[in-house]
Amino acid sequence: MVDALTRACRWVRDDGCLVDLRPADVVAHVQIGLPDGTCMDAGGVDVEDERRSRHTSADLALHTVLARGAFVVESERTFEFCRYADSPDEMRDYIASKWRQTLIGAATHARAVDLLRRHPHGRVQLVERVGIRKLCRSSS
Amino acid sequence: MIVQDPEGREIDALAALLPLRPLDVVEIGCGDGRLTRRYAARARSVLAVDPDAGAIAEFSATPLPPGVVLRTSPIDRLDLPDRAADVVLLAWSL
Repeated sequence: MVDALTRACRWVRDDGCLVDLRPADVVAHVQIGLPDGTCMDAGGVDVEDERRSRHTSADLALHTVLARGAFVVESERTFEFCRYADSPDEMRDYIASKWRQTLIGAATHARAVDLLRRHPHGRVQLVERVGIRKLCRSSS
Repeated sequence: MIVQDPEGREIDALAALLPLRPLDVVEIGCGDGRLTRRYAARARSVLAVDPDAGAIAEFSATPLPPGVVLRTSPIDRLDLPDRAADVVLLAWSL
């Protein structure tokens, strides 16, 4: 991963930048959102160790490249990235088919179903905190 | 149907970081082009890369925005000259 990031840095022009966009947290949360803006948490997704390890490795790769001093973080922030589904089943099936090493477990799915039963105007959503940072070449 | 980021928070966050000039962008991890299509109009050129041939096929199933070129490749086999891009975007790919 360090090699990949190093290659990517080489492609950046002197006045250009590298943008690193990826999840800030390894666990996304299934929620039921209500029309008044209230969100009720049904639980986090189940993430396999390999995916957790990859998440950690990405952070380490970034720190390694920054420690070399050729690039600096000019700015960074996080935001919530939301996906909406028509039902807990649809969200579960979407995650199972599109995400690697991640599932909506039975307990979280059951809580989402229960919350939706009690709040029929709610909407199923998967909320993921995402980080975005801009790296520029160091002037020194 | 799954709806992703209808609030546009992702493109807003990206747009806030990009320089205000025509850009040559290399995007690593373009997938089916969901994000690429949202910023392509601001770019002079986009080389959108993904190792997943299926995702690239999905991307190319509808007309590409002007200036967008697709390539199926893992990053470690992507042969580009040094200092080729104004922006290298690692899109959910690191």
